[in-house]
Amino acid sequence: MALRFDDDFLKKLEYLHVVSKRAFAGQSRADRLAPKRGTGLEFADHRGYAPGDDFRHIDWKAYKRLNRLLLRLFDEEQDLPIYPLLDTSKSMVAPQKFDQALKITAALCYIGLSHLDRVSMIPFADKLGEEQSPGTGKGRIFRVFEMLEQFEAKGATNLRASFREFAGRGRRRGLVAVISDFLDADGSEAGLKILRTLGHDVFAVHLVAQADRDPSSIGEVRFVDAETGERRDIDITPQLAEAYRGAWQAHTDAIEQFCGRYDIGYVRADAERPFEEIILQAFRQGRFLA
Amino acid sequence: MTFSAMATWQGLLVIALAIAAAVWLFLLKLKPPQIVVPSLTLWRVVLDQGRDRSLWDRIRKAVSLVLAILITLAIALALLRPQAGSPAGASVANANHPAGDARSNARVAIVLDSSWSMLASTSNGSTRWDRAIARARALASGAGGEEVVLATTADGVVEGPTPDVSLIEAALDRIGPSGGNASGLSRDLYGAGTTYFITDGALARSLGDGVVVESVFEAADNVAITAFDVRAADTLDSGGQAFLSVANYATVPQTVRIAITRGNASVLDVQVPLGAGESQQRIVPLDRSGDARLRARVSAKANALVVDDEAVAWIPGVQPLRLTVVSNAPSVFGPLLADGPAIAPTFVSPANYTPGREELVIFDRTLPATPSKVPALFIATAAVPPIKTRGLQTLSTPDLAAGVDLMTMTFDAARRYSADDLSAVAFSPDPVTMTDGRSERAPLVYVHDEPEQRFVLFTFSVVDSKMMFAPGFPVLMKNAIDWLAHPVPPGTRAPGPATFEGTFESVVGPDGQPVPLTRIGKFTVVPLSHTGFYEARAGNTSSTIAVNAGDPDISDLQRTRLPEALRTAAATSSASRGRPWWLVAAVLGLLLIAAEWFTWQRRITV
Repeated sequence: MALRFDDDFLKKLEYLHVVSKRAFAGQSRADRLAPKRGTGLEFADHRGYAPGDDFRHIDWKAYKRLNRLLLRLFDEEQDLPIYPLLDTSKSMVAPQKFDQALKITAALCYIGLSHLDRVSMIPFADKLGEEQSPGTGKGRIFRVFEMLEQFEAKGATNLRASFREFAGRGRRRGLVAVISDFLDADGSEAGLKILRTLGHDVFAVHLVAQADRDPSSIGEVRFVDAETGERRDIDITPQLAEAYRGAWQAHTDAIEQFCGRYDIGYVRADAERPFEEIILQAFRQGRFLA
Repeated sequence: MTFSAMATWQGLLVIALAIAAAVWLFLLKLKPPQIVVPSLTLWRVVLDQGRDRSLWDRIRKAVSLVLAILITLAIALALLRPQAGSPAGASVANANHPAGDARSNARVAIVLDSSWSMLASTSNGSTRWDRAIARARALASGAGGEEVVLATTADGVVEGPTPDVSLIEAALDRIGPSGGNASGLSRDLYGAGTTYFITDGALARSLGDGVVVESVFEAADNVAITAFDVRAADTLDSGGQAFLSVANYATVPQTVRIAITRGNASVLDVQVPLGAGESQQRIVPLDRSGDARLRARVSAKANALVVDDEAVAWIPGVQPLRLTVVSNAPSVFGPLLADGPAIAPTFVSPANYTPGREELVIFDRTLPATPSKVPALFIATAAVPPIKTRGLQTLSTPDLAAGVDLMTMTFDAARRYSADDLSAVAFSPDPVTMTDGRSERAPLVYVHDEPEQRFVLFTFSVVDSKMMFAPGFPVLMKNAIDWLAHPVPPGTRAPGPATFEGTFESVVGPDGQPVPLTRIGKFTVVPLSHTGFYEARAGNTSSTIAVNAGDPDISDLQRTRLPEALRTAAATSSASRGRPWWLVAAVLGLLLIAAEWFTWQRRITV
């Protein structure tokens, strides 16, 4: 699938930026306020001079008034490490779901690139995939597209193993956007908890397809697990279908409640919903974008 | 237990196989449609969490299986139509021989009572005959390859013995009630191990041992003409009298309409109230002129039998016999033939005679130039010397001497005829039927009865004797003319095979079609299978036979001569047979299929 956004949409994306609840130290100068004082343009504070400080930052006017040597401090504006973790397990291969995930990832990347953030796309399934860093600057969006087009859905979902591996690579803390359907047989809580424990600002983008929510047929069917290939003959009665819908609702509610409890942003993205609407409305309402 | 088209074990095997197939199909795991889902995780949760299953959820598969078996069973039973116990339902073996014991001989005889009462309608719209046919089919099918003989009380054996059920089926399709009053049945009559007699018991019949009586009796209300005939006129200005008897064999009083027509003219049309079981007789005077065919009809609300609602009668003498007397002494025969309205004589001399439209010719001491094809009475025709004779002694058929007072007749002389002489009279001479009592045994009356020509020859002369004054001679003359003019004795008969003495050319039935005749010596058997007028023809003469089914035994549909046990059994089985049960089974099967389909569509059942 060729990922392309039209110009109007890209222009709309440029006005958005990823909201991080916390400030993280970046590597390069960028638009985002860093937690430390640095060499930015915005005046932040004064402090007493200490031997070894740069003379250039002494506020001589204050010395004249107060007869004390005070050092002027400035905000540091650095880039934000953004880690879109894209679920590429086979459960995402459901119609429109994977495409929607790729588009969302691309959009996040573009937003980050346009604000000079450092974007690192990392696919995962049962383990963490190769990290893909397109660089900085919105001109790199086409590189993002090319990278995303290389992704393919394969393997089972294992959030815990994947995120444990992510933790093991020792990255800088930043904003982690987990784009997944969270259909993990072992549960998604453990994996998200790992990310949160690492100190990342975590956002969960829950991709949901109609096929996930509602049984597609009534009667005797043979379901094949897209990830494991397991087959199961199920006679779907109206009662069973209702029970499944209830189980699904409980599943999504559980994820949402978990995210709320651990200060993890949660946004639900329906695969059937128009992509632009998800980005421009749902993500903003979920305070993921501003 | 018997089945419609197969032996018991075959029927049971088919049912067992059908049920086994239904169960196999039910349990057969059809490959369900395959759907790839993102994950079975949630399904696993749903299925494994042991959700509360209602009682219906737990038993619905078993219920569905039972439904499938019931559907199969209902359809199989509807197709096979098994019958428990006796194949025909209400039956009883005659005497002390149960039906089963009578099967020492493998052959099975099925005898249907073909009396007219079998046409009576029953409560479910079918007739007793329909029931009898259905039972006969079941019996034939249940014979299990044994030879089957099919017979009716009217026609005797109509098919078989044959093991081919299809032949019996075909025969059952073509036969129908046609009267018949065979008085008895026995197992040996058809050489069968078991003889099944399917009857409504309207007529009393003696049944031999081993005859299993199958009852199709069901009491019904009926109105009938039980008698209808015409008495000939005894005066010149009268056409006679019609006698009609109508009975109401219903359990309730009802108004009966009685109509009598003569040709197209109405003679009587009245409505009379008749009580339950009441009958009414009427005598209707008839005019001299008019059609000779008389029809009577009755109608009423409760009337289960149609065949006895109409009766016919023939009025004799309405159409005078065209008689030509070829004689040089017409004055002798004139007074003799002019005493009744039934004869229109024409007298001609031998020299002036030419064959015409006459129905009968009397040749007095003369012979026609060519042998006459018209029935003829020859009187002392050939010039053979007379011999002395005395009295009538030997009287044979036809009974020309009926009513003749022999004591009043004296025969002084008669002519002896040689074979050559008789050849001049007829194409083939026939034996003598009247002879005198002397040792010479001179014949007095010759009778020739062949389909080509019928004649009577008096060997004695009327003109040359005192016979004219003998009181018995006019009677003899009338007998001879009646016999010649009527190939069969006119009158009213009951349906069924009728045996007539003498021969005649043909018989035409009420439908205008010739009736097949069976000639046995001097006798002719005519199957009078339908009611109405039959016309027997011989030469230029004909006789009309009126055939009526009405009879107190036939028409009283409340009565049966069956034993009480059979009567009640038949009534019970009749009540339960409001509709054929196999139809109920078929409908039940369809309803179950519909229910199964409906519930399956809604996932109520499996």
